[in-house]
Amino acid sequence: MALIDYPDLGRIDAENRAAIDRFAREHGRPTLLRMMLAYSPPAQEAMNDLYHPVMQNGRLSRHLKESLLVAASDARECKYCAGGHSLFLVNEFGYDQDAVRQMRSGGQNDGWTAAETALVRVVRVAASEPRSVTPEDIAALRDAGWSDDEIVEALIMASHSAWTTTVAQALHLEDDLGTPEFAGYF
Amino acid sequence: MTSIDPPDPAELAPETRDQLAAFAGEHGHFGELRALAARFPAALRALDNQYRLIMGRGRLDRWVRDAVFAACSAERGNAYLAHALAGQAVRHGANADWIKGQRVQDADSAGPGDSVGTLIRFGRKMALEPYKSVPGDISSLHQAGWADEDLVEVLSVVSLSAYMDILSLSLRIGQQPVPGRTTEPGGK
Repeated sequence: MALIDYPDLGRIDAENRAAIDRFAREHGRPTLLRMMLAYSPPAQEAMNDLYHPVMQNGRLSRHLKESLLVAASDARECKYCAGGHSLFLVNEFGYDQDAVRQMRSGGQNDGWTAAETALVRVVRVAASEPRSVTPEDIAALRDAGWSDDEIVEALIMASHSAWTTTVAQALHLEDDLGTPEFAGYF
Repeated sequence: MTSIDPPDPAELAPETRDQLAAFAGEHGHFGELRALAARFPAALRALDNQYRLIMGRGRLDRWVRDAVFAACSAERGNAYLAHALAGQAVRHGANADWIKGQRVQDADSAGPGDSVGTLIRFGRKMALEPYKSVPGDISSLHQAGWADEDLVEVLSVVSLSAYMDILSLSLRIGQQPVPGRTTEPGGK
C-alpha cells in the first residue's frame, strides 16, 4: 500500500474534488495521483495546466504525445504512470497491448512510423538520463523530419513524465493497483 | 551551447512574447530555459503556472522550497538551475553559506533546524531515485515534525525541479559541455 494514507475525500475542497472527478470521467478509473495531490492544493492546480493544455495543443498528435508519455514513464520504470497511460492508448486509440509494450520499450512497430520511433527513443533517454542526450541525437531527429518546435514538444513529455513519476514512485502508488478499479493496467 | 536555439522573438505570438517578458520582469532567472520552452507556448504557460503555484504558494517557507529545488538540481548535476534557485533561497531568507552546503552532494550540514535538513535530504534522495523511498523515510519526516501535507508539497517541488531539469539537461540549456555519453538512445 501507499507510504502515506490517502486524504479523506469527504473533507477536501470543491476544486480539488472536481479535479479528481474530472479524471475519473475522462479515463474511466480513479486517480491515485490526483487523490494524493489533494494534500497540496497548489500542486493539484498546477497539474490542471500541466496535462490537458499540453496534450490538446501543439504540433504533435495527441496519440503520439500519449505514446511519448508512456515511453518516458516506462524508461523511468513507473508502473503506475506507464500502466495507466498504456491502457489509455489501448482504450482511446485502439492499439493492442503487445504493440504498446513494444513501442514503449523503444522497439519499432507498425503502429508508429520510423520517425516516431526515433522520437520515442530519444525521449526515453531524456526521461531517464537527460545528460546523455547529445546534440547528435537532436540532429538525427531533424534528419528524421522533426522540426525544433516538435522536438521541444516531445521533450516536454519526458519532463511531464518526470513530474508524475516522482510523486507516484516516491509514495509507492503502484502498490495500490491490485484492486478491480485498476484492472487492465499493463 | 544549447542543442536547439531559442525561437526568434519576432516570430512568437504577441501573448507569448508578453508572457516571457512578464516572468522575466518578475523573477529574472532561468531565462534561457523559458525562451526555449516558448517553442511550445502551451508548455511555457504550464511551466510558468507550475512555478508560480508550487514555488509561490503552500505551507512551507518559500526559502525552504527554493532550497529543496536547488538541492535536487544539484543532485542531478544541473548547476544552472541549482545556482538560480539557491539565489532565490538566499533572496527569500536562507543563509548563503548554509545553502551552499546544501547544494553539495551527500551534504549533511547543520543548518536552521534539523527538520529542514531532514526535508532536504528526503528531496535529494527522491530527485534521483524516487522508487527507493521506504517507510523509514516517511517516519523520519514525521518524527522531524512534518505532516503528510508538507511531504506531498515537498514532493511537488522535487517534481517541478525534475520537469525543468530534464528540459534543461537534455537540451544543454545553461550547461557546460559534457564529454561522452553513458547510454544509447532507447537504453536505460
